Amino acid sequence: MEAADLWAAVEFTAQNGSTEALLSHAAQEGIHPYAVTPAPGGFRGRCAAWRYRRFAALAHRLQVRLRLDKRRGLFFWLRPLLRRRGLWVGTVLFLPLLLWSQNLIWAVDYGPLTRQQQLQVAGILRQCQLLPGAQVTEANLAQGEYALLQNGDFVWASLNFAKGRLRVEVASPEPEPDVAAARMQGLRARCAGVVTAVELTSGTLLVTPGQQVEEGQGLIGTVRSRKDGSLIFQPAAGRVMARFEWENRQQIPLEEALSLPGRKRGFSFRIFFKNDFSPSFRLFYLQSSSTLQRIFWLQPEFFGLVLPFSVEERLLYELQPGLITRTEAQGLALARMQSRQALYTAFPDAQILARREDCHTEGTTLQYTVVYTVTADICH
Amino acid sequence: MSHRQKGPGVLCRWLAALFRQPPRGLYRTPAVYQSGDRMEIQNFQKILLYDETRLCVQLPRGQLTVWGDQLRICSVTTHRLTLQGRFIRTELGDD
Repeated sequence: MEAADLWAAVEFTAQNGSTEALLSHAAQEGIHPYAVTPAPGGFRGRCAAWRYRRFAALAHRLQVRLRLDKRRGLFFWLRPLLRRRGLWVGTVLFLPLLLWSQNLIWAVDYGPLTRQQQLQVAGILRQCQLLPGAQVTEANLAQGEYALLQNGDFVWASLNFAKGRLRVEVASPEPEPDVAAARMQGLRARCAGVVTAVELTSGTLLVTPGQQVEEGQGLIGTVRSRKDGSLIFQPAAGRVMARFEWENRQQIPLEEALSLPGRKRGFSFRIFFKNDFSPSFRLFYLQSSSTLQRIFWLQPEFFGLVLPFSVEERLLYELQPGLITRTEAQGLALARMQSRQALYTAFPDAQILARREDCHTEGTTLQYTVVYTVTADICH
Repeated sequence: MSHRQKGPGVLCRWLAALFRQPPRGLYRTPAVYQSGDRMEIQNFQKILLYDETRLCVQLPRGQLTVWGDQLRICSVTTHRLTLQGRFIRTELGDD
């Protein structure tokens, strides 16, 4: 294959007349035909496309009939595109536009944040106008960082913007070390139980494993006497694990009247671009007290590439009075879940050893009582 | 004395041999090379006849005819023609 085949070459057939003389003259004039094969009444061959005009003139002079069979090469593949002016104008305009839009937020990188934290951070940043399509300024970034810190869920926040990507880095508060959480007035039992294990960090231990303790009884003290009778004060810190019974009651209505979102009453769209909202497009959008408005934020994509603007979509639903009915099994499952949530809220490190539950229905209400036997840290 | 007179003469001859020019007209003489199914004909003047079984070219002195089967001209430039196919015989003749 000749190099011309890759870029621009033509395949032709020469017939009638003095085809041999055409070949000789073409060779002498530097037209360089190649891949020449005999054909009835002449030959078939190829030459570079930019030499074909001279070759055709030569063929005309020698009274040889020349027929163009095929165009080969990248040039002929691109030529239909080269003729489309709009495509080139678009390309020329696209590059400056792309450079200019580097100052806009194309994507937000949340790093290792959980989905819930991402939604929380996105909501806070949206209030500071830091969302896809926004033009970033130093003031905006500083405002966003302060807003994240003021939220209280993060102890450190940093917003870095470069080439269309806003990188969010936040740090959640670390749990307090045991020694730092030590108290000067001693630790007492939150509830009655049997001590199963102790772990002293600071202070004086007042109970031993196997001992029965009552609610409010001292577990770790702050005073210790030396052999000579003098007292030493130390802050109390540590864990006292105890086995105890924890009771919880739940009432689950099996029938509940609620206002439920029903028929969609309307919707509106607004496009956020360069720190400004476009005029909204609304359809049947009449907000009232009997309607529920839900706001969604969308970032359009083009074949997986996010675009630097956001769309605010507001959906309006008509609220309809509805009755939710639950079966007893559903109510029991809900009651169990709520009881466990209450247990882990009270004792985050609780380990359930046994469960004793009572469940009965009174009218349309499920009465649920559960007694868990658990081991947990009871220091208070 | 004779040795002194001989020395420069040898050096001159050696240098002359080193930089000697090829015989006159060497680069314009027709040449034919064959390797496998390819044949290269250099310094031909024009193509007289070409079909699937025969290629006849005009050389400065005489004609060269190549007989073969499925003959195909790979490329033809001002001074060189590359031929591909199954060659049976070649014939050199006068004008």
